[in-house]
Amino acid sequence: MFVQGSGAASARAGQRPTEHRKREREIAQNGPHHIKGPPPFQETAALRHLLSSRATVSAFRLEARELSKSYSGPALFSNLTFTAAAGLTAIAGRNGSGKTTLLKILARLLAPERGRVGIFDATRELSGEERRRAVGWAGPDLAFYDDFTARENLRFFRRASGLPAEDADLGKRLDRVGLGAVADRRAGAFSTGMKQRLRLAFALLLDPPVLLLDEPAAGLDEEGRATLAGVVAERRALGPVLLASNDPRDFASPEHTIELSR
Amino acid sequence: MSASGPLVRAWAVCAKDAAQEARQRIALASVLFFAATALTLVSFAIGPAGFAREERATLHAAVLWILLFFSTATGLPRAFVREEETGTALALRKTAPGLTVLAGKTLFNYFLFAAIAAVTVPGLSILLGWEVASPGALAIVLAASGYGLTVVSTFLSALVARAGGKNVLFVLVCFPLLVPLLLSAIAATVAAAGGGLAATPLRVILAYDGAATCAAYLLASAAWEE
Repeated sequence: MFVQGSGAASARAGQRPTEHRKREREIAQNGPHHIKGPPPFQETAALRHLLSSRATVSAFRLEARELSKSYSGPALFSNLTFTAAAGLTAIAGRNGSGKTTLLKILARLLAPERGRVGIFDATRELSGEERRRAVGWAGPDLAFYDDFTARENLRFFRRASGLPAEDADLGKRLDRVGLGAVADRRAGAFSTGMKQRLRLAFALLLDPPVLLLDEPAAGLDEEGRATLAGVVAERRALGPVLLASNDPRDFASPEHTIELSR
Repeated sequence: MSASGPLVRAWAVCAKDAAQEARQRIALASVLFFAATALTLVSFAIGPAGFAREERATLHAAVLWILLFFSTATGLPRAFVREEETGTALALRKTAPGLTVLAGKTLFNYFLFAAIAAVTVPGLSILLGWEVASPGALAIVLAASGYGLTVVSTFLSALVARAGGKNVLFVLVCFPLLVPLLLSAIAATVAAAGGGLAATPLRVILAYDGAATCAAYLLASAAWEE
C-alpha cells in the first residue's frame, strides 16, 4: 500500500506492510482458501459466492489519487493518495478530520474537489454498475425506510440493484448480523444498535469485494462488536476493508493506517 | 446470480414508492384533498351557469389544468424530497443509478397524476356541468400532457430536493417550464370537449414529451448523483 498526503491533512502508512505482502503472496500462490495465519475467517454463503467468482477477490484494490476536499474553510485533506489492497486499512483522526467525508468520496456518494478514485480488478478499472456493486458502504447517516421491515428494506435495495432477492437469502444475511429474529419488524422500531447491525447488512448486501465502514461499532453491544469483528476478519482476507473510527478497539491489527490530521 | 434490467429496477423503485404511499397515504391524501377543495370552491364561485355557454369550454379546460398543475405541484415533489429528508437517499444512491431512480419515481408519479385526473375530471363534470363530447380525445390529451407534466415535475423535484426552500423553489422553477405544455393542453382539452382532436396542440404536447424525456435521460445522473 502506498500512502501519501500533503497540505492540511496528512496520511501515513501503517504498521504491518511486510505481513500484508506475505499474505498477498500466499493468496496469489494458493488461492484464498489456503490463507495461513491471521486473520481467521469462517466460510459463509457470501464468502463462497465471492470465492467462486471468476476473478480472485484479492485482486481487487481501491486507488485514490490526489484527493482534496474542503467545505467552507480550510481543506479537510489535500492531495491524498493511497492504494488499498486486500486487508484492513484503518482511517483514524479526530472529530471533524474528514474520515466520514473521505469514505463517502471513496463510495462515490460525495464528489471530491480534486482527484479521483478507481476500483481495480487486477489491471482492469471497474466502471458503471460494476463499480457501484463492487463497493459496500455503511455510515452513521445511512437511514432506512421506517415503514418497511428489515427484510423489506434489504429486499428493495437488492431489487433496485438489479439482483435477485429471495427471502431465504435475505434471512441468512440478517442472521449474519444478528437480526434474524427481528427480520420482519419495522426498521423504524429498531434501537440504535439494531440499526447499526442493519447498516452492516446493507454494506454487505451486494457481496462487494471492497468494504467501507464508517464508525461501524457505534452503538453496538459486545455481541454486536463480536459480529462486526467476525465480518471484518472474514472480509479483509478477500478484499480491501477501510474502516474509519475514533475508537482504537475497532481496529484489529490493521495492515495500514491512514491518519487524517486537520 | 443474474442481474435484472433497468426496467425491472425502475419498477422496483416505483413499487417501493407505491408500498410506502399505501402505508402512509401522505401524498395521495394531500393531493386529493387539495383537488377536492379547489374544485368545490371553483364550483361555488362559478357554478354550472355562471358563464355563457361558448365561454364555458375554455374556462372549464383552464380550470381543469390549473387544478391538475397545482395538485401536481403539491404532491409530486415529495418523490425525491422525502428520500432526502428521511436520509434514505444515500442508500438509494448507493444501490441504483440516477436514471433508474428517476424512471421509477416518474412512473409512480404518473400513477398519482392518473389518480388526480380520475377525481378531477368527473368532479368538474358534475359540479360545473362540464360536457365532453369526445372522452377518448380527452383521455389522449390527459395521457400525453400528464406524461410531460410528470416527467418535468419529477426531474425538477430531484434537482431541488437538496436545496433550501424546496417547495417554493419547485413551483417557481416548474411554472415557466410547464407553461408551453399547459397552454397546449388547455387548447387540446377545449377541442376534445367540442368533439375533436386538435392536431397542432397535440403535436406540441408530443414534441414537449419527447424533449422532456431526452433531457431527463441525459441529465438524470447529474440531478440525482453527487
